Amino acid sequence: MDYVMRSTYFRRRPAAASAALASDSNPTVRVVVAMFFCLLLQTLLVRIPKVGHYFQFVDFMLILTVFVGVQPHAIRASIIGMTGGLAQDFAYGALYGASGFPKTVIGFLLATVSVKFSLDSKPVRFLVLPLCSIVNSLLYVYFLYFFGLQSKATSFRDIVRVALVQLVANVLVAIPLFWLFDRTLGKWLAVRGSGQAIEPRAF
Amino acid sequence: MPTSFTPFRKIEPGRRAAILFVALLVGQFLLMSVHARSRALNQSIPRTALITVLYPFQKASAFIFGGIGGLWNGYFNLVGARRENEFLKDENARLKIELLKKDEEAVDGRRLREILNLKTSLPSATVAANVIGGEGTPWFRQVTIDKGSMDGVSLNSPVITPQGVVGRVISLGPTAAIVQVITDGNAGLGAMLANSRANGEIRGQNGEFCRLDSISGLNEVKVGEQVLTSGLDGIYPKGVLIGTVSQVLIGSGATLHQISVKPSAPIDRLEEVLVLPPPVRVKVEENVKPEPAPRKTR
Repeated sequence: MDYVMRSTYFRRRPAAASAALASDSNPTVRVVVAMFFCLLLQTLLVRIPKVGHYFQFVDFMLILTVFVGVQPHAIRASIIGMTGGLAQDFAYGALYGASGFPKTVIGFLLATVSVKFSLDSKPVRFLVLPLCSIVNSLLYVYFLYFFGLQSKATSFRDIVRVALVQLVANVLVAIPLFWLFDRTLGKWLAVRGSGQAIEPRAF
Repeated sequence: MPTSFTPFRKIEPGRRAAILFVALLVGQFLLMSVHARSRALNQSIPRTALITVLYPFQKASAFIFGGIGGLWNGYFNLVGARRENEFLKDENARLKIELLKKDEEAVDGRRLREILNLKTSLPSATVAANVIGGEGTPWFRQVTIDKGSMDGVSLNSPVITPQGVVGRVISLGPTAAIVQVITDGNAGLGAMLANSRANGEIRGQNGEFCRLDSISGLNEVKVGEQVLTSGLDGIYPKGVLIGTVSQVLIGSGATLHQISVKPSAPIDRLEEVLVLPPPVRVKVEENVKPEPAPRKTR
């Protein structure tokens, strides 16, 4: 099955060179660039003087995973979540797979649910994201505890506090980021023959 | 296209996706297990590659942010006073580091030459580095510096500022390295109180302050007292300032003090740091090999 990417913004402004580049490029390349972009934001924004430390609570990869996950392609969402999460793990060096595992789960579940229910709308995304943020934080901390890597100084109250702050931070940052992803990444559409069943498109 | 995965492709798509999903999860769980058991993976190839790939972007952003910050501070504050202050601070810092380096070289030299009677080897030079990346997560305290193995930085090298200890290098790329800061929840180092000389252990709290453990309740501790490295951890040189005691819950003869320490180094706004040479570790058995018995000649 072949896939094409739809980007309404670039259709409106075909003259822009960057738009042409983006619309012509392979969707996979675009997502890889987006993941790299998220990783850069993750490590760079915290260096902004005075306000940068707030960005440590934002999980840019989670926002990308949710953006892709609400489109009904479970395996793609899982792989993007896993790859992005593993990239974060390699950057942090704490526990390889601890960020990848929750995002794989989130990507798969979101995409599977979005087959039955349409999640790919702006308001619904913002309802889904807080839930995903909480699941992501708790699973990550659970794995750190499970493998004995979480600091003993971190209490349950600290975990809840950080998870809630992450929730708020993710939602706030997702407002411009979803807008950016909508304009640069667009959506994947399954191009299939008219005789093909609809349900398997999720996979 | 007939491939070795052809039988897999024959599986119904929904089931195939479920199998792939479970395989991804199992794979990552195994990866976590392996990593948790073997902390040596901190220096893995993917991590080194990632550090190297991110380096130019981090360096560029550090330059931009540094430039913006510098402009703001330079032009909106008192320019002359600030420059003079910076010059004096730099001079003071340089002298402090020079003194520390000389002390360390002297101690190392004496120890190596007089006690173990080994060959003299000069420790590698101290490397000045800029902080170009942050941790990006609330669960750990790490920073990225713009010097790596090509610049002489090694794993476990202590990282300091003129104000105090910052941390140690835990992962290394050719052009950049990751430093675990002493406030990280998994960081620990040998420490001693400056007045009583009681030895303890500094533990990071993933916050602004550290905890000083293992100080007997019989020792006298005062708020504001300096805490220095003890050198007993085998990583940090002895006598470097860690911070000052910010809070004490007095213990007794049976219980330990609960001491909170505020790091002296500006952990939350690090810009320039110094990477000291890694600790000199000598395997004694390699140097006390018995002389081979002389061959009997007829």
